[in-house]
Amino acid sequence: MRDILSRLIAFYNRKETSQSSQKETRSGVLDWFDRHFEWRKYFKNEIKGRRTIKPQDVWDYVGYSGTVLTFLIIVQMTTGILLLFYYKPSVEFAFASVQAIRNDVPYGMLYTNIHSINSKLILLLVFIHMFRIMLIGAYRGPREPQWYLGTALLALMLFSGFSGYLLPWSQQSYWACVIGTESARAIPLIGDGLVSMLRGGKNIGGATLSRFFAFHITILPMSIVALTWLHIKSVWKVGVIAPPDMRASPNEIDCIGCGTCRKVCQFDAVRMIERGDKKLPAINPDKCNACRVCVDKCPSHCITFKSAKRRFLSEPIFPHNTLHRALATVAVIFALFIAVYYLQGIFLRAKEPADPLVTPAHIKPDWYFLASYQLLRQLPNELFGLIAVFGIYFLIVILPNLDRSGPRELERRPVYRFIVIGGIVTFVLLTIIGGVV
Amino acid sequence: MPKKYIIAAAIFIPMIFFSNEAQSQNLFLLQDMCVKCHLLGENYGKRNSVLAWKDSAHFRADSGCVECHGGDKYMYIDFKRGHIGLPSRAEAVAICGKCHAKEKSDFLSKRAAAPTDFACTVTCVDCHGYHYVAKADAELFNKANCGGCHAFDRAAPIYKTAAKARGAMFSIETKIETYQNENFPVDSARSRLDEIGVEYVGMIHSEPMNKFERVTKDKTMKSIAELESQMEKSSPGKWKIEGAVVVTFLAIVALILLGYQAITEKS
Repeated sequence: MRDILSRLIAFYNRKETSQSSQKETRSGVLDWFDRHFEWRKYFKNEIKGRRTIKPQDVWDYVGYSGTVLTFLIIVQMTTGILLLFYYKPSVEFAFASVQAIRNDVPYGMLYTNIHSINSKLILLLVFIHMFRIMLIGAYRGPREPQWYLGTALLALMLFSGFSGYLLPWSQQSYWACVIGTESARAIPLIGDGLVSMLRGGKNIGGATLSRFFAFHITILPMSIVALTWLHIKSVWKVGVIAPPDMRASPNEIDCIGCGTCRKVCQFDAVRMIERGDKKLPAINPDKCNACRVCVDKCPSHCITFKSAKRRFLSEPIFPHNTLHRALATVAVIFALFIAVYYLQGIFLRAKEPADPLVTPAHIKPDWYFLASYQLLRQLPNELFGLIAVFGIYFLIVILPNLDRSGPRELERRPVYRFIVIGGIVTFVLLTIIGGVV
Repeated sequence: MPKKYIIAAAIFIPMIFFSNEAQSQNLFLLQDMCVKCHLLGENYGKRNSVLAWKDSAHFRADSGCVECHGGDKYMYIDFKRGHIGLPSRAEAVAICGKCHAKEKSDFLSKRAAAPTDFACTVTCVDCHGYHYVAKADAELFNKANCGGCHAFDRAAPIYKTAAKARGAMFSIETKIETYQNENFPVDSARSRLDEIGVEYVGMIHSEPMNKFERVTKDKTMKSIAELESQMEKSSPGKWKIEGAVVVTFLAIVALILLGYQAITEKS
């Protein structure tokens, strides 16, 4: 009996020892990473104390479209790499290789569907993200670099979608590329040369497929990753903008002018200005993130955030706001998989291989080009159409230079409101008409 | 213009657009010189041959009179240009084999392997017909075709086996169409079904009929069953169930996140 007991105790002790040694190993791993990459210091300095606005309703989640986009880009690149193992970029084998991936490769149909439908979803979110920034005026200083990077990313993603659309080498792909590249011919003097350069020759063929493939797998993804990293870095530096109708009001009577709010502000949004015999804080609404750190740290509790429409509450970036962003991401991924599994008949149209001798009855580009396609069709002259499309893009790029100051609320900017909302509605209508007609 | 001419034009001009379909098809057939005489000639029997050919698989494949009877389709009967008139039954295998070379070699190997008392002088036209050549089907094993040489009771089990195999292939074809309508990939299944079909036809021509049932069961039906089980693995139903699992998992993750959010806010 004693022998049995002593053996049990020895066994229990051995198990306990192994658990504690496992624990040491686990924290040892984290320590190893900390020694080499200083993740704890980064977390403490950059993430731990940081706060941001707490979402109040569903519309606030639209503001997390940037986070969701980052995740979707990672998904797109992952599925792209999986496709790259089997895809053959030649006129003879491209269509057959895509069909072989769908037919024969394990889960091939799943990640082909994800790659195709995700590309449409990414551009939808890019437009939603861009329209939201335009509506809340978040393109102004100090956020101009984000806006310029964002418009560059829009162009890169559109070209990525255009180049990727040709790769399955189906009838729709081929003829959409014919129409898309042919429109450049309207440009005087350089039109023909430009079309030749885009196509790698007079007609769409193997050379076109090769160069579109090269763009699609090297230059474009690398550029998108680099610009996205810079875009996120600049967002992290200046923070997420407060809603346009927010008013930060320091109480001039209670304020003792200690300057604590200026010291604790992570976004350099507070300036101390002389008013009479003391210095009072002036909060720049374009820089303020409404994170409320100044409110919490103020010794005389004289700063308030007010809005006619809502309360302003803040929360820590980690883990609270991260959870909100994760929830938004999961919701969008949910919609993506509903489309992948149940709506593939609507989104996927590559049914026949490309035939240069047979023009299909209805040739349409992918949804994100329908508005510009319809605009080109409506205008009498193709050159005017190109000028209109690129002109609108140019105006969007230089928006921070056109609108530098003044209130950001749409209610107080009737002309801007008319132009932007009118532009968004026109874009949506042209997209619908382009898809239906 | 007199009224009567206007009325006549109003009656007859629309007739150009609403002409009899058979009449317009006959007009089309008049391109071929053989058809011109054999269709419009007084010999009613010959007229039937042309009409039977018009409904056949050969007509649809653009294979006309001269492919079997020789000659030049733009000339009248010209024996100097190779017209052989009415070929004998014995010549049928050589004539059909000019285009259907594989079927001819399969068939001749069966004849060579057949025991001498079988003494089967059956040729291609005995089963497939000559002018109305229909697509090969289990229905070819019928009383009219088989009963010409022997009692049908020997052919009846063969007919049943062929009908079963054909039915199984037809159900796979229907499944392929359903998958295709739901935008599912069907190329592998389709090419495999074509391979099975070609093997099966080759087997009908090359294997002795007394071994037909066993070979159909061992090879063809087994291949069809394998194809069917492969198609089941990637069926739309299974895909949708997989989708439901993924989507439910994401919904659960979202609920967990919501719960965790509520807990962190409370704390």
